Amino acid sequence: MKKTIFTLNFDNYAPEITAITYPFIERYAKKIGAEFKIITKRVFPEYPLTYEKFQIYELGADNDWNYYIDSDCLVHPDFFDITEVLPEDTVLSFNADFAGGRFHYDEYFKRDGRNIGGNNFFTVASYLTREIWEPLKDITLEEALKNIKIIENDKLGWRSDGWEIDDYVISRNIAKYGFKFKTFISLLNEIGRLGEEYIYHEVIPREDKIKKINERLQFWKYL
Amino acid sequence: MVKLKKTIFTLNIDNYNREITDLTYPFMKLYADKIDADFVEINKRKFPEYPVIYEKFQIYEMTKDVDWGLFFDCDVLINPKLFDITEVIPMDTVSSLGVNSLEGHYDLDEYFWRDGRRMSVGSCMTFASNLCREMWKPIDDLTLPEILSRFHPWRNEELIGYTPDYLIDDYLISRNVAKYHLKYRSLREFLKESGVNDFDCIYHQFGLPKEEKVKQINEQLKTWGYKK
Repeated sequence: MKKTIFTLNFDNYAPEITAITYPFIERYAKKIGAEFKIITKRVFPEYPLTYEKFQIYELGADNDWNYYIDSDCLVHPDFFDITEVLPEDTVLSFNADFAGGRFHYDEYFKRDGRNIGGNNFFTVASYLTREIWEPLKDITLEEALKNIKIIENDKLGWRSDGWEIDDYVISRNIAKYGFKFKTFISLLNEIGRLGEEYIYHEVIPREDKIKKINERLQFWKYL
Repeated sequence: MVKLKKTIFTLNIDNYNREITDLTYPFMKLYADKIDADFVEINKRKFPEYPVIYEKFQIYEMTKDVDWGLFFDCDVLINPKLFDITEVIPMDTVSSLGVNSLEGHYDLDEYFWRDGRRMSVGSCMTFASNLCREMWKPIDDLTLPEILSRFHPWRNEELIGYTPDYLIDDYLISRNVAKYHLKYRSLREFLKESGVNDFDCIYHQFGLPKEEKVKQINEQLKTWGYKK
């Protein structure tokens, strides 16, 4: 099985955070026999930064499995290999929101009907379903941004414009291709591990994040 | 109530079998009138390098601005007593008369594998709303030789002279249904739920010589009470 764990990092993003998180991601990659690849070059410079995740569609074309993990995710070394329990025909993201609360629907969301708004700081898909990372082909960036509803949490000043485009396009691809879908939480429930913390990730300002990550490491007894 | 825009399509390049369409078209048009649909005969080629039946995939573009597209092969006989099927097929669901197993029929790829339903959708009549018009989306990731190499006619199809290029529409429609994991239910199921037998409403036979088909269509019209 050929597996790659991808993350994004442009202009040496938050070295104080990645100095902590990358060794844990690398350790996990080694454990599951995956390559760890940091995407550092922009291919879609006219799009918001988070859209660069969609490079995985091409970069992961020859892999059996692709993982995406945000650079600020802390991965517990006890984390198991998801590819051993997730069916190849099913995509996974950490959790899901009600898509109708975040996005204006088009024909794909309407016909799909599951209202999946995937959170994609942690996403897994096999070679059967790599279209989850398919770049937009049929609508413009402007049209995509118009389809994203600004919810109250998004109005926090430290978030950049268009930062939710990755969630939008991933959710739209799940709907477009009708992908079978599980959240990480539902998978943990299925395998009787609900409540185990294998991944730590919070959407908070950078200054608070380093403090929280260190607290998590203390809790996990790595500090 | 918003009035839905519907179109009934059929395919007839080079005036195929006039003796047959002289019988079937008036009934298609009666049905179109009944359900307030336009009747459109696709008679110009847009994909000349492909087998003629691939022209069905023109419907993808032609349904951009309609709510429902209904395709019938031009040798399908429709009993005008058939109710408006767009009233029972959900807009998020595609339909055809029925499905076959695809075992031994197609070489499967990642779309069929991930879909998992293993359906070969019969394409002599297909129905989709504007939410699902990808069912008729032209192929954009395989060449014609690649497509033809993936399709293996059954023995009964070989016996009536079918070759892979004659069945490309079944393969590609089935592949699109799998690729986009479009919800599917057969027309037979919808008719059965409505207490209707498909033989009372629709007649279609494939693989018959033209003379035999004309004869059978005339007999069907007698059965339905439209001829003496």
